[in-house]
Amino acid sequence: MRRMGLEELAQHTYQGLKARGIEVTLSGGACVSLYTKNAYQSSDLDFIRGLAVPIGEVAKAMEELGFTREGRRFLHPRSDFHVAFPPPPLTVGEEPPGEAREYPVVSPGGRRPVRMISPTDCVKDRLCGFFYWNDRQSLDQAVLVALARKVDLAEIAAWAGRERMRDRHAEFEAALAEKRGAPRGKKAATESKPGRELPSHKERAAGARPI
Amino acid sequence: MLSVLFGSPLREKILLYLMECGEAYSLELAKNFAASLFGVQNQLRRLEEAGILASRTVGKTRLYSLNPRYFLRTELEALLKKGFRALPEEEVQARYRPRRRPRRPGKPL
Repeated sequence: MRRMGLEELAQHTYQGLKARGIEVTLSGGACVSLYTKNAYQSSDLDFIRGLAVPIGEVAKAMEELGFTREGRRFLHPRSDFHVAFPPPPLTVGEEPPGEAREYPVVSPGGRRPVRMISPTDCVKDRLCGFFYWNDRQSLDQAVLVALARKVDLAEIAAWAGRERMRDRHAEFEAALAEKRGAPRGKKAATESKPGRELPSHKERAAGARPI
Repeated sequence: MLSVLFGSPLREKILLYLMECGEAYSLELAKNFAASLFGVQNQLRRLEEAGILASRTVGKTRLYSLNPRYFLRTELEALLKKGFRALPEEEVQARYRPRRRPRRPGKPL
């Protein structure tokens, strides 16, 4: 039987929980993998449940979906990746994220949606790791997402200010500019124009760009 | 003081200690507050599962701290700081002032 990669496991988990009335949102490193087409490979999928949903209810549903629980992780016999449910609520730093929505995800099993944080919130989420843990991997991942997807750089800058992390945000801007080929110390031309994140009406009509 | 709010006196002490001292490992907390290691580890696990604490390993030791990514971090710290200021000075000196500066090898205590 075919092994499930990250994309298919995300679909299997999200759709299975949704069918059982449990709404979850994918966050963390798996979003980086999906948004960058695995330029960064995450080993786990962090789904955030609603505050009112007890973990016991999620665990029961996960068992029905073929997972076994090992501590805080849920393992599936057909996948090398694992699923976890960090404590809710869904936040980026001290703020709730923008509206999460279902993004179409393509896997060998077909095209099925997974509810995820937006690319802009994914960058913020990774920057939290850099801001608060000084984790350079998180900075690299934030840059990868900003390069691969349309993100609202002006909003990210404003958010970093509210997190009192302007200095660290400047490091992100410099790293992004360097990857885009702009000389250090100068802002890349495109940075003055916030990227378009949401699909246009035409794209919406045709279905948003699949991941 | 805050123990009813936090659910247990030990949990209150752990949170106050981590707010004031930054990081701690479970045996350090158990010795400092004359509590059982199991009890401390149990509280640390619960607090970490709730996202209130974060931990990292240094060698074989797991160090705990208040999670800077916890969404109520600012409010929690404000509450703990106010609670800490109400502690008697003797208790602060006895329980919340661990040595953090380096000690050269071989230097007598």
